Amino acid sequence: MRYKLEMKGIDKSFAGMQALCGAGLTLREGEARALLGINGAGKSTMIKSLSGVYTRDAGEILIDGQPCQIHSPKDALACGISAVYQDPQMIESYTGYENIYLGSEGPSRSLFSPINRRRLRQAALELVSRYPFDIDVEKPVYLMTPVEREIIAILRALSKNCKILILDEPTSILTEKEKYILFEFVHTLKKQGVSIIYITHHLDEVAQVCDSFSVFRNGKVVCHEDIENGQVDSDYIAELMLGERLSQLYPDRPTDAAVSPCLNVKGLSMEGKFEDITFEARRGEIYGIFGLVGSGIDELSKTLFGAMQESAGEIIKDGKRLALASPGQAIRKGIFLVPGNRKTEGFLNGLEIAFNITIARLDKAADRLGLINRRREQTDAGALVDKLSIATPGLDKKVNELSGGNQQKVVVAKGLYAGADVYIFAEPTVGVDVGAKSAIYETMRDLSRNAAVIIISSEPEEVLGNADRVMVVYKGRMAMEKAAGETTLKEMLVHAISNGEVTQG
Amino acid sequence: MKRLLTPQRLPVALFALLFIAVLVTFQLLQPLFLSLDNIINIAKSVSSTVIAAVGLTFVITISRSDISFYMIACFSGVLMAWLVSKGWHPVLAVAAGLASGLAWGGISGVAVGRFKLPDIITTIAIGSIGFGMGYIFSDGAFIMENFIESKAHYLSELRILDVPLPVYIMLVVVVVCYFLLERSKFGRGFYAVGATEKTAYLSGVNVNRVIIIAYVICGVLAALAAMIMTARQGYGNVKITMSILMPCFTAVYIGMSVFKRPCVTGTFLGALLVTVISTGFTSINIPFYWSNLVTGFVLIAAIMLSKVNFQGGRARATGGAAK
Repeated sequence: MRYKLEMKGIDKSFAGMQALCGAGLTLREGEARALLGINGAGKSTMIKSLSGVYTRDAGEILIDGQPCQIHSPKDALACGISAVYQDPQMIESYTGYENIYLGSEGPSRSLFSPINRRRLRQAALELVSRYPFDIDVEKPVYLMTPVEREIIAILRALSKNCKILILDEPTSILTEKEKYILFEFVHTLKKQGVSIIYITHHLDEVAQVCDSFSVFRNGKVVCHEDIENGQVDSDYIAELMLGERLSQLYPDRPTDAAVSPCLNVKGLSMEGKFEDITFEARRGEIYGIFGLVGSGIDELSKTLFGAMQESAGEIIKDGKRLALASPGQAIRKGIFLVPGNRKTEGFLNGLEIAFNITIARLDKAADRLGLINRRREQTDAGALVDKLSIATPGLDKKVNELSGGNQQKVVVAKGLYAGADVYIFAEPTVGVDVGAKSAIYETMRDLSRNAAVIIISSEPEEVLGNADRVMVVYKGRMAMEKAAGETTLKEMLVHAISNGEVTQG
Repeated sequence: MKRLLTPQRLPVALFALLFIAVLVTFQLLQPLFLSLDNIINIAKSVSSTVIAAVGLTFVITISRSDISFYMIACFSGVLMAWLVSKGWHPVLAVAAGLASGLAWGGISGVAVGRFKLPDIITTIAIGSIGFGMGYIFSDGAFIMENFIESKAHYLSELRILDVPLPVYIMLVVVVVCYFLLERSKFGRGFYAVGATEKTAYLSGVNVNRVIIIAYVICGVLAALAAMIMTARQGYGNVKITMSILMPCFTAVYIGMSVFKRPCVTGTFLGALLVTVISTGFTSINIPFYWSNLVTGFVLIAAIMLSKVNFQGGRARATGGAAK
């Protein structure tokens, strides 16, 4: 049988890191295929190689059996390939139909020849009439709901004669009702012969929308399967996504740790982000929170640190209720966050290592007049650089000139310098090499002897490998809480992608 | 053995050579250039530029811009002269002028820090309001009444050990601001906010307060510079500081091109160079617009040089609402 799209043996590496290795996939006309895999498995790289954002290192792309040269998004468009990303970019003040036809307003002889609005509007209405929904294309985009924006973005792709549509987590900001509208749209597109690549973390959507799925793991496709009777076995898929077991990366759990209560979180909620989160973090332990990207765990980490405000619930530390209005207050109350995004939240770009290490606790580096004691600062920062074995020629090296692992170690060193009773590590090892990873994990275990340590991550292995107790968050709610010894990676992942239920479409 | 000329010291050495070359050139063209009278003249004019430019340094350090300081300073200058003409003691009038600079800077700081308004356009608007208000109560006329009689001009003309008072004021401002910005724990906040704002916030820095204080310092020091210049003229004139925008930005950026980050020392050296160039042009009877033109070129060159090796986030000619 002839495929609409065939990708074969795609290789792509970034700075020596193999992101895709011999990956392939096929797509029939009118088929919707889900791409599944944990973060960093290669899904995004795969679709970006198809949509021309990345140039692949090796491999072929065939459309209708013919090889195509795709080196830029423009080439991809010419081959009938369009991608719609989550929260699509549009010109807010333009109407829906102006956005649909943006850049293809028809032949114009000169820069100043007027755009025929009536014709565009007519064309848009005609386009919309082929689909089962009402949308007012004369409304400016900034007045539109998320699903209407999504539809406009898809219509824009269709107006360019799109035959292969890539939807990248299209439902991440949609409500249940809006999702239904989008799914109806996708079904109609399939009937009209459009082939769809659908990226999502949610298995219930896969069952509702897709005909087949491919699972990515470590840059390879480990399985292609068709979906029969609208049923997806989440256990089986979780196993495929994870593959290998826990390695020796994680330090041993001490058997003699003295455990005592420290931080109590009760019914913590933030509207639209997370709801009713309750747990206790204890001195002597590492508490793990696992959830996928977008599940609300990033907001949760910032709320515990005073950088975002809860809408309900309380944070109690050592018996006292905390009202944290800012990170500064949290630091003074003995809470420190190693934030999720190192570049924009972790280190100070263009400033020296010593500067970065002492910034959260300057009173420790200053004398009574408030002047920095440079010698003391250098000594203290130097001791932390040695302790975490940060590889640098000197303390006045700019942090942005270090490798990712060493940058992250500087952020951790900042926390050690500040000193805290509660350490929160959010996504602590994104873009960090294995050596630095194990150093950071060891530091976490070390800290847990005298402080409560919380690891919040979208990597299940790192949560289970480090934590003594784990919580899984699914769409902002607690889906599971267990001692690490009593659960498995698979169980955690099943809860994170489907709330623990086998889903039916 | 340590190398004498490290990559960090090279720009400083080049600056020193350039500065000497400029001095020698003007001295050759005008033998009176380095006379005592002219040196005192240069020193006075350097003082006001340095004071205003040091204030601006704080705003540039937080990666923002202030286009209001030279216009709100006009308000402060003319307010001081007006109060003197109403019989206020000059010291009180100067205090009131400083307070008005603080208020204007505070308004800009709150607008940019608390309300997140775009810095450039907002400060242009606030400066314009300040200048307009200065015009309203001075009527655009010179305010001479009681100025000399009350000895208000001593702010510029008084000499202690043959050195004019503004030089002392400048030295105090430079030393205090040097310790505040570059040596104190408080100064770290300015650099942190300028480097990566969100990181600064998540490290416990009170970002809004830092932004407001930077604009307040800029406003107060611009007001001080305006009053010194008013005292030097001997009467209130609402346009007194309309010419200091360019020299101040140029001074800060020369400093950045030498030290690769905004700093008080660099701004001081930059202001010195800019003033020597402009007074030099005047002393060889070349019209002022030539000096404007040359300062413009120097500013562009300094901006370009400040980006070389400068890793400090975005080294930008004008600040950043683009967050």
